[in-house]
Amino acid sequence: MAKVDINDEALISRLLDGDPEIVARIRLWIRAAFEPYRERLAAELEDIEQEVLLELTEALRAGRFRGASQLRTYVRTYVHHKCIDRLRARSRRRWVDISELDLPSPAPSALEDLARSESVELALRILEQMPESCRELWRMLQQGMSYKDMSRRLEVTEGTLRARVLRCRRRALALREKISA
Amino acid sequence: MTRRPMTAMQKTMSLNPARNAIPTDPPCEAVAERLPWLLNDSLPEQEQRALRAHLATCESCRGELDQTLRAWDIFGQHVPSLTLAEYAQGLAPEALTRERIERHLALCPSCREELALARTDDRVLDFAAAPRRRAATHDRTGRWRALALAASVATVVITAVVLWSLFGSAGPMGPSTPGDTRVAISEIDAGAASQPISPPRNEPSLLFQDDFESGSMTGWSSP
Repeated sequence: MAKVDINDEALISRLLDGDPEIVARIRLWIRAAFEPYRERLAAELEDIEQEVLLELTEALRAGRFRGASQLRTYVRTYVHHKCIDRLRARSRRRWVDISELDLPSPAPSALEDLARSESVELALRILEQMPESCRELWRMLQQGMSYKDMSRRLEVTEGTLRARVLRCRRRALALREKISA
Repeated sequence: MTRRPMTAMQKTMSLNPARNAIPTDPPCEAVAERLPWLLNDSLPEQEQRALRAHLATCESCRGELDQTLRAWDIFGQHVPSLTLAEYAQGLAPEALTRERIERHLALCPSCREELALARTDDRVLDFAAAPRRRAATHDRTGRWRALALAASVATVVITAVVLWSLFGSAGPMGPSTPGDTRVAISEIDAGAASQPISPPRNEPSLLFQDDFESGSMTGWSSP
């Protein structure tokens, strides 16, 4: 089992004590790791920095850093994780104002959380077996394209496009049943 | 769950490409086809209203919406962001095998793009640090300038001495030179004066001396 580097141990101890010099150093690491995202997430970086620092401190206090990497790498990894999450959240456009309908709540329950890693694996397996044409259609959908724009881009009628998307949906769900069984 | 059958008018409207706009009371088939665009919020206002009104009263179509949400989750699945970040940093990812990650990367352009972002970090760190190193060096101006100034002066003196020894030794000394220079010249070894002149290496060019003294970095490359 990896052991936390002795220098990192000292850093963590001083960080958890609130040593301003160490906090400043960690902030520098965080800001350096932001660089690839600066253009796309400019307005959110300050928020992300605070979030990362807070969550990092909690993780270190809880002993979740096990020394498999250097502390700096751990910080960098965490920043990338948060920034990628923010980018993905932006492109996610969901019509969720359906409170009057009897559908599952969008917020996952604890039970659903436990099954999450299995469902990720399952979804990725399904995607691998779907034809690229279906993946492409649903990528365009998830980018927020209207059916008019999609039909123009793909040079098919709107009716044909909608029918294709529906077939892809049914195929994916049938595959899900097959793999899960 | 029973689906509402299409009326003759609805059939005509759904089949006629010229009248693609959804009727106020759409048939279930037309609703099911439009659900993905309801989810991505790109449906025209009128169609959205019609679909919502229909969904509120049709259990069958609410089932279709549920199915569309499940398919949405499948097609929207990516390598989890933390796993991708771990993979980018060369760490052993916890949630998925490397093989699964790489198979997904082969077919997902957005995950590849995110991976590229997560991997530019090392190069950007080096680049981001470099200007600060240059700035820090430039900040130690006193010491650096003194050394470079001394090197410049030494070059001038040596060059003057060598030129004088080549061209000044055959005749009168010419116009009076500063006393320091005469003293330096008198100390020159005759043998050394006959050596071919080689240009100074790794020394600041005289051309840039003014720039250097004014604090500009132009023409001076860091050692």
